[in-house]
Amino acid sequence: MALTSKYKSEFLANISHELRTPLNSILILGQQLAENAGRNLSSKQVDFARNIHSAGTDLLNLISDILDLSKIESGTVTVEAEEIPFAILHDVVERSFRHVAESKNLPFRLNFDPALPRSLTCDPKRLQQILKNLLSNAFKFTAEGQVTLHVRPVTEGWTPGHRVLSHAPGVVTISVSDTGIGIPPDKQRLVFEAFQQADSGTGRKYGGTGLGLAISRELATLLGGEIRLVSTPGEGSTFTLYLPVTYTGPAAPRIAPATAQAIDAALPALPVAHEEAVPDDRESIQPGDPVMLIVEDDRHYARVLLGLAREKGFKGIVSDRGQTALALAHQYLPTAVSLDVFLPDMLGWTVLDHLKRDPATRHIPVQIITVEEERPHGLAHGAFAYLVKPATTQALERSFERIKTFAQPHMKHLLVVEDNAIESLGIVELLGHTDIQITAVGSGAEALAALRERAFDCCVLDLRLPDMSGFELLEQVQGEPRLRELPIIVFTGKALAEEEEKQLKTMAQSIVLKDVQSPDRLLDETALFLHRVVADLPEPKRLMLERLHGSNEALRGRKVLVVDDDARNIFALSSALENQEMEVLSATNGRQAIEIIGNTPDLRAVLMDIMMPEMDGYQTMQEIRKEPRFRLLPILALTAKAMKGDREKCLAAGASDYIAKPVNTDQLLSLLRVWLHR
Amino acid sequence: MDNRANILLVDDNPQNLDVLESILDSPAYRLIHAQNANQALEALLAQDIAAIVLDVEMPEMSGLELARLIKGRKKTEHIPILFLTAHSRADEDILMGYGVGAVDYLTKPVTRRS
Repeated sequence: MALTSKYKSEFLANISHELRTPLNSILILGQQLAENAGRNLSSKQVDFARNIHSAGTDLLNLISDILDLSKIESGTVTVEAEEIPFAILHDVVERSFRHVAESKNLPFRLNFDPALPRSLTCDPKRLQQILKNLLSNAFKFTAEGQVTLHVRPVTEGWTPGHRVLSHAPGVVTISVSDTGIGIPPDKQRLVFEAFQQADSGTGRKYGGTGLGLAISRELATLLGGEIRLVSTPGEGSTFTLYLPVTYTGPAAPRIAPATAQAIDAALPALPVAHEEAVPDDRESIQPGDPVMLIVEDDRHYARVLLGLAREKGFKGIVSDRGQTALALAHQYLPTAVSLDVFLPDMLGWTVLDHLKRDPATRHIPVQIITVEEERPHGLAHGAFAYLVKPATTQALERSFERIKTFAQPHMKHLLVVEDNAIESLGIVELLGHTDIQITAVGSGAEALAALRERAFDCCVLDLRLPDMSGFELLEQVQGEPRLRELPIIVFTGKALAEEEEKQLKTMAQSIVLKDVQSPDRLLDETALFLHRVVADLPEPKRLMLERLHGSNEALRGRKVLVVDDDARNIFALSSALENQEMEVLSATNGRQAIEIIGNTPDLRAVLMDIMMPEMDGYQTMQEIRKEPRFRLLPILALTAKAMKGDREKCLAAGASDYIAKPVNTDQLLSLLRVWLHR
Repeated sequence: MDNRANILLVDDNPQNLDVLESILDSPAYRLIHAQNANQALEALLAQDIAAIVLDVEMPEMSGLELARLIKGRKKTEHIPILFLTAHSRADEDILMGYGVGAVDYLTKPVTRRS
C-alpha cells in the first residue's frame, strides 16, 4: 500500500511539472492579450483574456497544492528547523491576516499564553503554511462572529501514545477557532482527505481546492505533531495543531523511497516525448541563408523565438533536446544558436561545451536564454550573450539583432596588453591571421585609452605592467558598464598564487576572465572568444587546437566515485570510465559514498544516482556539500527520469550537473571532461 | 592480511550455496556467497576475485547476463567463470555460457568429483 502511494506521489510530482510548463505559457500569453497592446481588442475580448489569466492562475495554484501534497507524501520534503520566537510568530500571523479580517469585517483575536516559552524550534515555512491554511479556512467559512488564534503550552490532549508528542519535553498547541458553519461529526475525518470537503457542494460555494487540510495534516506529521478537530455544525470549528516545542523528527516513519527500477516500471511514459515538433524552416534552407538553431524545450517559447529569428531574416531550426540540437548543429552549421539551459536530456551548458569544443562548431555565436542567473558561467564558457527569461520582446529583439550583426563576416578586434616587447610580438605572431586585427599596447593607461576609444571583441592581459598592476586595470575595466562583458584572458607564464587566483575569481563575477599559462591554450581561448572559424586558421594552428581537444588528458588517471544502489549500473559505468583509464571507486549507498569522499583527498568527481533506498541522492549531496572542503567537488547527478523538476531538485541539492539515465557514454565522458578541466 | 584467493559462489538458493561450500571448503581459498546478481557484483566491486561459480538460472538477472557484465569490464574480464545448471536439458544454455566466456560447465546435482 505504502509503495503504491509512493508511485502515485512520484507520478503526481512529475505530471504536475509537466502541467505547469504549458500553463505558464497560457498565463503569459493571456496576460499579454489582456494588456491589449495593439489596441485592437474589444473590451469584451480583453475581459475574456483576463478570465483566461485568472482561471489559469487558479489552476496553477491547484497544481502547486497537488505537487505539495505529493511531495510530502513521497517523503521528498525536508524539514529545516530553526528557532522561532513566539513574538515573531504573533507578528507574522497578525500581518498576514489583519487585512483579510478587515475585508470580511470579522474580529481577529490573537491570544498568546504568558506561560509559553520564549520560542519554539520548528520549520518556519512549513508552520506558516499550516497556519495559513487553517486561518484561510476559518475566515472563508465564517460569515459572522470571530476568528481566534490561541497559542499555549499543554501537557495533554493529543492522541494517546503519539510517537513524538508523548515523549516530548514540551508541547504547544496553536488553535484556530471560528464561529462558522461547522463540520458534522461524520464528515470530520473526511475533511482531512485530499479533494474532500464536508459537503460536495462546498467547493462551489466557498472555492478552494480541498487540499489545504490534507496538506496541513501531512505537514503537521512531518513536523512531529498532529492536527485535531472539534466542531459543532452551526456553531463553529476549532482546529488544534499540536507541536513539540523542539522539533526532533517526523511523527510517522518515512516511506523509504522505492528503487529506481521499480519507479520506472510503475510510471507510464509521460507525454513529453510525443510533443509535436514546432514546424520550422529546415526544409526551405538555401545555400547562403543565415540559419538560427533554437534549442528550447518549451514549445510556445520556441515559437516566440522562431518568430523573432524570422523577423531578423534568419531561417529557424527548432530542437527541444540537447542531443538532437548537437546533431542539427553539425548538419546545418547554423549562423547562430539560441540555447535554453534546462533541457530534458542535458543541461544547456553541456550543449554549449560540445559546440565550443568541436572545431567545426566552435565559432558559432551562442546566445543563452534561461531563467537561471548564471551569466558569468555562460559567458566564461564562450557564450556570446546571456539573457534571463522571461525576457521582454524588446530585449529579445535587441539580442537577435546583435547576434545577427556579429554573425556577418567581419574583422575581429583583439587587444593585447603586454609590456615586454618581445613577448608581445610572440603573442601577435601566435594569434595573428587575416581574420583578426590586433592592437598591442604596453601599459595599463594605454590599454584603458584603447578600450575606451573603440570596441574590442577580446583582450589578452599580462598581469605585470609598468604603470599599474593587472588587477588595478581589471578593476577599472569592471567599473565601466560598456566594458563589463569584454572577455579578458589573463596570460601569465607563472602559476598564480592562491591569493591572486581568488582575487581574479571575484572579478570574474562581472567580467569574463580566464587565466592561461601556455601558448596553445591562449590560442584556444582567444579563438573561442573571438568566435574564430577553426577551419579557416592556418594549418599549424589548427593542428595545435586539434591536439589540445582530441586528448583524453582530462580523464586519465583521475579518481572518480560512482554511487548507485544497483551494482549493475556501477559495473556498466565503471567499464566505460576504466576504458578511459580513469580510476573508479564505488559505493552502493549514500553513507558509504560520504565515507569514501572523506577518505579520498584526490577524488576528482562523483557520479551520483538519485534514487537510492534509505538515503537518496539528494540527501547524500546535501550532506556532502555541508562540508566546506567538498563545496567545489564536481557531483554529477544521474536522474532516472529526465524531468524538469528533478533536474532543478538535483541542482538545488548541490549537484554540479546532471545526466539522464540511461547514461549515454559519450555524453558522460564529455560532461566529465567539462568538470575535470576546471 | 588474508592472502587466500577469493572464490565467489553465486546461487539464488541458499541451500545450494551451503552444498557448494561443503564441497569446495579448503584452507587454500576463501568462499564468498552471493544470492543474486547484485550481491555478486557488489562482491566483485569490493574485492579481488580469483574465480566464480555461477548458477545459470536466477531470478531478476540470469547468470548469463551477469557473466556478460563481468566479461565486459576490463578489470574483471579475466576471471574464470564456472557455470552451474540445474538440469542437463540445456545444450543451448551451455553454448551461450561458453559464448560469454565460461571456462567450464557443471550440471547439478554437483558432486565433489565433478
